Amino acid sequence: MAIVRQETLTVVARVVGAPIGLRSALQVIAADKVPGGGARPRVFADPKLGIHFARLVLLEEPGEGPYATSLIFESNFDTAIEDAHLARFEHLKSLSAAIYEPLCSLFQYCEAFEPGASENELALYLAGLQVAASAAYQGHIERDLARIRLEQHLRDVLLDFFSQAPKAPLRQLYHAAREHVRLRCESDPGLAGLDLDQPRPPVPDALARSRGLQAGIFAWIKNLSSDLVAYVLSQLWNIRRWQRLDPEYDQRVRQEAWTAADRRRFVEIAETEDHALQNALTHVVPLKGVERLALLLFSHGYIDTMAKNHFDDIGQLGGIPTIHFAKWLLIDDNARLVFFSNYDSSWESYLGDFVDRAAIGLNLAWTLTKEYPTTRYLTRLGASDEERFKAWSRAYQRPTQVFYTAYPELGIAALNNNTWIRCGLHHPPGAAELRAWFRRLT
Amino acid sequence: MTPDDLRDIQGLILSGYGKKPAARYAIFQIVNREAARSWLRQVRSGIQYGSYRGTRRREPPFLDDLCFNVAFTYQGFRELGLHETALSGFALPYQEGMCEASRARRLGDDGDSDPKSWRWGRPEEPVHGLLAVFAGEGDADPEDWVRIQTFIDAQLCRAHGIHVITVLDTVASNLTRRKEHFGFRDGIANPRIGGLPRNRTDDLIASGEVLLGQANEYDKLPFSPEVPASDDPTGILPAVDGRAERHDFGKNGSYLVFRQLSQDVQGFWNYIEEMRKTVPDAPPGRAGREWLAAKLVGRWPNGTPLSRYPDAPGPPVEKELDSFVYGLNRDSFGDRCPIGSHIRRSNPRDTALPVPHDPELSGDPQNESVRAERLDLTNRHRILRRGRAYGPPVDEDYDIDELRTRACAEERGLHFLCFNANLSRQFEFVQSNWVQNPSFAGLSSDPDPLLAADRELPYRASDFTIQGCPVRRVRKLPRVVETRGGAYFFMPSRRALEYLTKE
Repeated sequence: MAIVRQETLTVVARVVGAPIGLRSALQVIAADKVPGGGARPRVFADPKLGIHFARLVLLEEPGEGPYATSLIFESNFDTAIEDAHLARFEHLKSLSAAIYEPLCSLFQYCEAFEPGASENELALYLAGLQVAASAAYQGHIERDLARIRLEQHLRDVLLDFFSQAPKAPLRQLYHAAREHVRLRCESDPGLAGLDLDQPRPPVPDALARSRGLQAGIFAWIKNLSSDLVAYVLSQLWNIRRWQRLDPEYDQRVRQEAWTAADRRRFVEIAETEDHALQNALTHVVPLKGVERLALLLFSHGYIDTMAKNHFDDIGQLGGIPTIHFAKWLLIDDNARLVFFSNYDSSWESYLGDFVDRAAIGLNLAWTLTKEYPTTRYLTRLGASDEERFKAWSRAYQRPTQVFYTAYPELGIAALNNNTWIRCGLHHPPGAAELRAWFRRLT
Repeated sequence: MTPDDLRDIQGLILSGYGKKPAARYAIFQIVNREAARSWLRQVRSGIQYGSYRGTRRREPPFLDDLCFNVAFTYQGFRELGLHETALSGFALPYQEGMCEASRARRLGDDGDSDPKSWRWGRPEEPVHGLLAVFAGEGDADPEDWVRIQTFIDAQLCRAHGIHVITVLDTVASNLTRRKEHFGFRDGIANPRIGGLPRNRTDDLIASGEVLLGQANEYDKLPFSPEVPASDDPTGILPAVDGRAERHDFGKNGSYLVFRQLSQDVQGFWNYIEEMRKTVPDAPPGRAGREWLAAKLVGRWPNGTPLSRYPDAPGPPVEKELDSFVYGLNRDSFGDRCPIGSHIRRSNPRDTALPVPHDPELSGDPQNESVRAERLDLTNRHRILRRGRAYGPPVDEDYDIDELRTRACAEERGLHFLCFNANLSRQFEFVQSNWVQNPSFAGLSSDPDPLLAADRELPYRASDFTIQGCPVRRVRKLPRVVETRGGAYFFMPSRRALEYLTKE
């Protein structure tokens, strides 16, 4: 049976004229939510779509500015198709079939949209507007929505069981719990598909995770390519010149000049945050100059390689353990860098993690963008300038008008923990692992 | 911290005046700018500043018999005519205020705690200032409250351009025996400001975590409101290093969070009694109630930490109440003090975040360098609490059965006050990411059992998990604390007040 994995796609469309109607259409979609709270607009909630996270962003730009107003659609979804291009197209086809009207209500304001297009034509239109990520990360690989929900429910069943179980030796408790679950599988639809007598699912690979977590700096060294090293060395003179001369974000000047419009924008961003455990960060910043594009692409290529070979396995981006999906991509003919992430908890906590845990990796991602806090040799300082970095991040953040999460109550720590609990139930653990397994039940 | 700094800092930032049993907080609006500035000019030299912390306890200067401090909201400073440049330099949360809609959501102020139903600090009745007055010594004397009220009446009046919104009373601090109304010792885990004379050396945080103009835990000066030097020609305010054109208005001032939190004492203990019966390990009767409540709080009612005394209260030795880390008490995974208990999530100390029970991910809690790193990270989110209880105790002996059974209609609670230099990274972070967050430290549906049960956001959750083998869980935590009012203030330095009221 094909393993269901997750894929990501981004569609960027130029908006024609003033986006008054588009704004209203986005509001309609955002307001129609699945009952029960959380950021769950109904339009993306059909389980057949297999969407983990989705967003719609209107990047509004002033008419006289250098950039066009754009509508961006992002989806992180389940697929069993191995080929990434095909998987994305199939997802667009599913979307066009399932939510044709809402999609048309949005993209009718965009360039090259053909009114009256068929579902297939709409999918083709959207496919043509896709922009590839320069780097992408996923915090919980190869667990589809059904599995995530099953493992969450399993944890609940176990907690309820243990809450009333008499004290007993661990091994005895474990087997009693296992038997309880095995019996319950027959009657509890929430546990459908769970068969404890089968081997545990092959992914994620616990050994790969352990090795990755222990690798530390060696993972960075191991994934360095000779091309990257050669290119960075060839640019060393430039890098030193840039770090000496580039202006960094001046929090004082900018804050003291805040206008009423700036304040409205802050409120608008805050209003879209903290409606669920997860939040969406949409960040758009111009590059410092086209002459740095190649270096930025090399840097992002390195981050992408690290994500595929290391971060995805260990469930952390840099040192940040609260990101479900994240990606960088270039828009406007490579003039601006977009960052999308779906993360747990508040913006302050997330940005704090950037500062405290992941400054090096993130410096590499953003150091070549406008006003980024000054770095040394692309990786040092930068984000560790706490207040300046946070102010810079907020200044270039955009509101996420529509944000969808499939599991608004499930943080990535709990999601991964549920998986390890489930895996431990398939095979009775050894003595040392047994205690660790019980500790996970929290 | 220099003696000049101590003379500059308002005293309440440096200590809670714990020896003074009587206190009242007057919340006011400025209705006449010139009259209010004139009043502040007269009164500012009488404010209690921090010089008393620069000498030994029995050497002068001492605390004034009746001491008071003032603080202002963003609108308050605007009403007083503070320079626009300084106003724009305050932190955004302070400028927007505690009751701003998205902020209220993050802080858990929904339902009965919605700012629209607050008694003070509502959006349509903005607060401008706070006058905090303390008096007496040792045991409370009714005369102390009379003196405080006489002082407030004399200061906050129409003639001084001020309209009083409310005067918030407190219960005599000697009567509370340093307990909060649920019956637990309070005010224990307060960090100490680094560089302050006469300080214990444990649990120090950088002075810039509390005071602007001082280096913080990142070894940076916190962002501080400034004024053009041209507006301060006589140099009342300190100059800004490296920028002669600016003077520092914020230096030695601190952001003050004030929240009035009511407590449903009977509701809390009734819930404990109901749930005790559902937990197989709970001892019977009163001992069971004390045990379960201690699990929720993380301390026994006498303040001794569960992490040290997991089975029964220990002797309440003052120095030992706060000087512990979880890793050294075989409590890295919450087997003694549950991960989601109130004290552990308010100050996780060396708890290996984000997921304590996953040492591969979060680091081995037995490793000393891991513990030190965790403590460093925790210390970037500390706050300095200065609150006092209000309303009479249900029972003066805080007997837990009396607290449960004695009917008492009068409202009681806590005037929660805390100082910090960075509202977003400290108070708001603690409230939304640790207290409010049902997913804190790898939990799944466990909000703070005292402060955050059954809030709408980030999602409805009301479980409490007691780690151990086997794990236990109690459900349906009730809301036992509600917010009745609140505002963000800034408590300026002596020099800032002098600049603010200059002729």
